[in-house]
Amino acid sequence: MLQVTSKDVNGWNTVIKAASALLEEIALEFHPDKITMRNMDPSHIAMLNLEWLAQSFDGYVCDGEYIITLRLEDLANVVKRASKGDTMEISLGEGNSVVIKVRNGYQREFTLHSLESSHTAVPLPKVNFAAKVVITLKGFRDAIADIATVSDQIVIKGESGSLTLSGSSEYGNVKVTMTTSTSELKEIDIADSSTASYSVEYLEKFIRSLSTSTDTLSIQFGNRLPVKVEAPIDQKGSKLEYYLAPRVE
Amino acid sequence: METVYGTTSPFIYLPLRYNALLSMGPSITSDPGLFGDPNKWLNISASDLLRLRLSSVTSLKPVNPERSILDSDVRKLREVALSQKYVDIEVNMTKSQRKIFRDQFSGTISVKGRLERVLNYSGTEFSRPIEKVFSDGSLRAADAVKYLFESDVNVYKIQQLLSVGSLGINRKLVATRWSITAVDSMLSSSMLREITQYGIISSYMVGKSYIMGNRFAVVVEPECYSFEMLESWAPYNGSENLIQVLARDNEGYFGRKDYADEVEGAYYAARFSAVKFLENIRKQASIIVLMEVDRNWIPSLGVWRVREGVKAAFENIQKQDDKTHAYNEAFKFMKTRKESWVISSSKFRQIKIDEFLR
Repeated sequence: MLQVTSKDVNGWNTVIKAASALLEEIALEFHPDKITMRNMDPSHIAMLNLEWLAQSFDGYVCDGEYIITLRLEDLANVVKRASKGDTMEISLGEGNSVVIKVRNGYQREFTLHSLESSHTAVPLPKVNFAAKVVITLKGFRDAIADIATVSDQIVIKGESGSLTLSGSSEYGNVKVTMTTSTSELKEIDIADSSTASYSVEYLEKFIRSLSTSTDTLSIQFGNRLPVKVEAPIDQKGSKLEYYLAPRVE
Repeated sequence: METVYGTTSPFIYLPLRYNALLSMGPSITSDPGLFGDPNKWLNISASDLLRLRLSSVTSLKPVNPERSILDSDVRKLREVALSQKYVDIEVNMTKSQRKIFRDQFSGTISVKGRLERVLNYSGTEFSRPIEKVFSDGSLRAADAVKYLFESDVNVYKIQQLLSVGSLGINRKLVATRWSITAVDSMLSSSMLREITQYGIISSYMVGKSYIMGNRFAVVVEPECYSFEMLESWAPYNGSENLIQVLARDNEGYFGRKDYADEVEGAYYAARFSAVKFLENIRKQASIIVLMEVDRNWIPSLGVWRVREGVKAAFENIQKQDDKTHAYNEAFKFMKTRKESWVISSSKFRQIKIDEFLR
């Protein structure tokens, strides 16, 4: 049996938006204690890893392991129909279907057909990050937007006590520096000075998908290593992790 | 003022003026069969093509893209443009000093004077698909373009129809250069919706072509769809021995929403031919187009040269053993240094996440 109930659809919106930036289908794995999802984008440049704990839901009943694969567009269209204050419940329907009930006074019931999944389990990147920072979503979002004005590549550099985000092209240079005294930079832990470059487009798409209610992000990186951006979905430990492979300078 | 009588392929030219205003008028030519069909231009030299374009008699009158659409002369010219056969046309024009419009998108046109009035035209013949989209005011422009393409109307005719405001719901005149890019973009986007559902091609491939001072190499990789185009002018300006950053635009699996501002219209023309290749074989792949301009290049022949050059490269495509062979084959064909292509490419510099899963 599977029955997952949320009184707030913000979490669903965040997960759908983040996944839509990378994928066309979403393969949600329902476990007795959590929902997970791990997918690479079609070009194998980024990976999204979801860990959505049972305690984040208002009701969570799952007596086994279920994988539901849905077209993201279909799921997004249904979730869009839920307004603030509506309760959303997901359960298994007949055959290969998923039933989504939206309640607020009266009940609306949507049935979506689960796709035959081509999804195969992938491991998480095995990386020893040399640098970790905790930064406000607004601070990181603004820095990326600044860099996007001149470049499609962002260079993230971590040194003792400072984080530098920069970009350059024939049009010019942008450099954003944050130190421990900057309010946007909440924590910084640099084991070794580290520099790596990443696609602005990919980072921007993920950051834009996050709800503005997200307070801070944890960002880990290292020389020529992927960047891992960890964003909380709520205050109960559920999170989205985004891995983005580096670019060579 | 004098009366000019002649034949148009038909080609109605709409160059940009200023403040989003346009000019509009017919090109009368002695060789309408050749003038109106860029597919045949590959068989002649660049200088012969330029001579053909410059020998035409084009007269223009100022038009407003929206307000002029029902003006008497504009209505006549729009009907002439719909014809699938050459049209005999008689116009009154005031001759002026010859003005040459050099447009990198739509090509070089020689304008001989101001169009005063379209007097007569005869010989128009309309194909059923063109009549259908013209008479259907509820059909969106993108759907009309797709329908015409699927009805085997050639892409150059579709560009002309969009330009003279014969497609879509809110019809207006569109500059020739913008209609070319718009049609390339609409058709590619439409085909890509299908292509991204196809299986991935099984091997590396490389195709090459050389057309009128432009050298093309296309590299096809067995991955999900992505497209990148790099443009080098090194052999044109004698800097082929330098390592330099080249113009580049690219897109991933989900396509692009913003304008390709480095390679511009050539990007959309090349992507159209690349996507058409994938549609023909019903597979998806990652494609890189390398384009190089050398000293045989004559400016402003139009982006048809890119569309046809890339198409020709795909017609000569050959399988390769692996990625290294494929790129070596492509770089060897080019005069520009390999390092310039590599440092300028987004795809070359992007590492895959798979490398960190081991």
